Amino acid sequence: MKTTLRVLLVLMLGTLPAWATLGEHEGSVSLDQQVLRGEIEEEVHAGYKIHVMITADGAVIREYVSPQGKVFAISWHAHILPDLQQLLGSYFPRVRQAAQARVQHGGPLVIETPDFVYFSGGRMMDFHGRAFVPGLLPSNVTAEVVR
Amino acid sequence: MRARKVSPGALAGLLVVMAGAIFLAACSTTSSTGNVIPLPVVTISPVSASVQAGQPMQFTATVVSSTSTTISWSVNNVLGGNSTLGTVSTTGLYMAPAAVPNPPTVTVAATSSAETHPYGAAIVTITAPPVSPTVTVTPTDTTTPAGTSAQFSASVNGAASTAVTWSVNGVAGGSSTLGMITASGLYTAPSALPSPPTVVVTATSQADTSQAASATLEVTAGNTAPLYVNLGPNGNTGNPATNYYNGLFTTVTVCLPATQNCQIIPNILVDTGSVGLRILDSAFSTVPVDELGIIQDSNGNQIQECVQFGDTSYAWGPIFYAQVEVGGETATSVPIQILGDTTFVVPASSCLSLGIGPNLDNVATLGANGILGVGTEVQDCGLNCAGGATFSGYPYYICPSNVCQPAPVPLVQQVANPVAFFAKDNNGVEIVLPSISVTGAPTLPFTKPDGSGLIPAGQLIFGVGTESNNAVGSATVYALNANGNFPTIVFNGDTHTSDGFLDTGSNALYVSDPTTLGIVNCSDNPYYCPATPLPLDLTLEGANGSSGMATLSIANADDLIATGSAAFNDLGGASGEGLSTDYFDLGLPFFFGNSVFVGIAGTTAPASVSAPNGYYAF
Repeated sequence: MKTTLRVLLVLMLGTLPAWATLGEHEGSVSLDQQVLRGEIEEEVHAGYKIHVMITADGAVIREYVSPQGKVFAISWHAHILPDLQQLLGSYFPRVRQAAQARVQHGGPLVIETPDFVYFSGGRMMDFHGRAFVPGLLPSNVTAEVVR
Repeated sequence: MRARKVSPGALAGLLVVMAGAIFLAACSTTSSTGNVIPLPVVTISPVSASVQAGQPMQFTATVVSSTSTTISWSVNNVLGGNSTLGTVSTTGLYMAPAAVPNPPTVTVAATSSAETHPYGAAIVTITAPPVSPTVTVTPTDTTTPAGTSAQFSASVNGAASTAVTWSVNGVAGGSSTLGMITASGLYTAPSALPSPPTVVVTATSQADTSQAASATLEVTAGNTAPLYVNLGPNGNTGNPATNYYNGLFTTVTVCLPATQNCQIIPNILVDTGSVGLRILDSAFSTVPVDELGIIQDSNGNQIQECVQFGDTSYAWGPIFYAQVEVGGETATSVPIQILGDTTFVVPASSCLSLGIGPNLDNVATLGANGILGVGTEVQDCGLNCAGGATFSGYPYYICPSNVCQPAPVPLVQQVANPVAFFAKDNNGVEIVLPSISVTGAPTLPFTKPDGSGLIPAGQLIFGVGTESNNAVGSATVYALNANGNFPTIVFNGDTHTSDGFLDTGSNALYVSDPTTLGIVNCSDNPYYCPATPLPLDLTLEGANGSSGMATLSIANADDLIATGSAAFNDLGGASGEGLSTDYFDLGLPFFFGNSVFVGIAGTTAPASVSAPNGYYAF
């Protein structure tokens, strides 16, 4: 994968491409603290694009953007849970509520509803998760692209 | 006839010698003058008795006489008796001989000194004393490794009952420090060596508690800890929501470093999906937590940790050096984490926002007294937390003036897998769980009330290929990828390369989603509720090219929970949306009826397999 944009210096200066929130327009929210020390790459695919953040410690956070510039999905594979409040925006309360209401121990957290799908699981120091809004999936794009 | 008083002068004429008479009761004789003169009357009591050899019997004699009341005592006409027949004192106290005479009956007589020697006699039967029971115990001297059991048997001779009471070092039934012993003589050694390690096992006759026999047993440093599935410390309350189904528990001992000041802590969750020992502050009662070895940075700030779990729950607390003992193995100094100590500040802006799930700071939320993480790594974070360019800013913090900030922590101070710090058997673990029925096991262990069978406790065996009880044998070795997972799992014809793992800390098989599987979620619990059991065939592959089939099943969780059981090999739940990117979190159901090895990264894997990231073998 060819690096199309090296923005480390730009990140440190604060003038940076914004890191957006699920369901919002890309560029709507400023960058979260923990992202400052990583690189951002942009992948262009048929019908959508991905902003890929690879942090210094190897965590990968992906933001899936529609041709209209809407963030329709996010995913992460990291040693720590990312700042889900910033990444999930208005969908965050539903995740927090589901997390607090759990009675089982171990296993992933899964939410499957018509307007919001969420998964977070994995093991300590090896977390993975994804969230997407089915209604925002671009035409000819399935949830299979979210990985 | 009744005796009547007569004048002394007349009495002299009344004496009549009557030879051969046995009973001279109220007889009288006629004097030459025609008056009736009564003779002395001697009555003995009792007139018959049964006396045990060597035991006393008090006789009394009543004399009615106007001339003399002096009585002499004899046994079989021997004045005072003798050692063969038994003796009798001047006050009528008969002492039976030590040995039963032949014949076994004697006559004890009380004789008046009056001239006609009237007397009363009693027939005495001497009986043999009961034989003291003797007790024997086998084996008389044996050893057993910590955490394992040894069967003793006792025999009792010479008593009506063969029942015995078992005790260990004088404590009936034993104790958690000395080891417990059942009413049938099954001794189970504690996980930690008692001090001293030799105990005395005693069987005491219940028929005669003065009779007992003892044996000695030495508890040797073992490599095995028992594993229990019992619904957990919050279980069995009548509310199924607090039951920890498939919660796998063991007991650990935590000591102040280099001391004998230890706390035995049960209900510690055994978790192959994490690394490190984390214990609730509330589990400590006799050992002061603040006297464990404090871990601090070069400025004297105590290191604290915010640890997160896959379901977004989290736990916060300081880390300490401690001595950890499990199943006979000892790590003399290993960093552990203490959870739920309210004297330590939980940072509002860091730990809580990252962990959106519940704070596991008490038994109610954690469902256990602690977690023993025995996964495939040595430290719970590794180089990423030690500082430098790859520092991730998590999970360790310092909190100067109660303001917390992320802090790098060198490897030697990070919370670590205690197994890696054992003196021996330190390259991994083997989880052995018995086969159970598809409808579940009430608890593990479980003895059927009719005695027809036993489901034993599981075994947490330390070491891979280091002892006679942890040989890999013909098990297939699966090298793990850089994330510590199976690189590939094939399911339903789809190849999933998004990582799957085995995890005793997950209580179900978390795979796929209801739509893909053609089943439904349960309505009132977070598991799957298929109408009929769903077979689940997976092909698991290792980074070394190994491959193997796992044939699993998912049953209806409502039906399973309704059985009231604690352990299930077919409890399942959702793990995604049926995408090729779904993960496979193969929890405790995978382990029943299996022996699964979990090898630590950096150790030498079996069968010359290259496994730099650790391995599974089964």
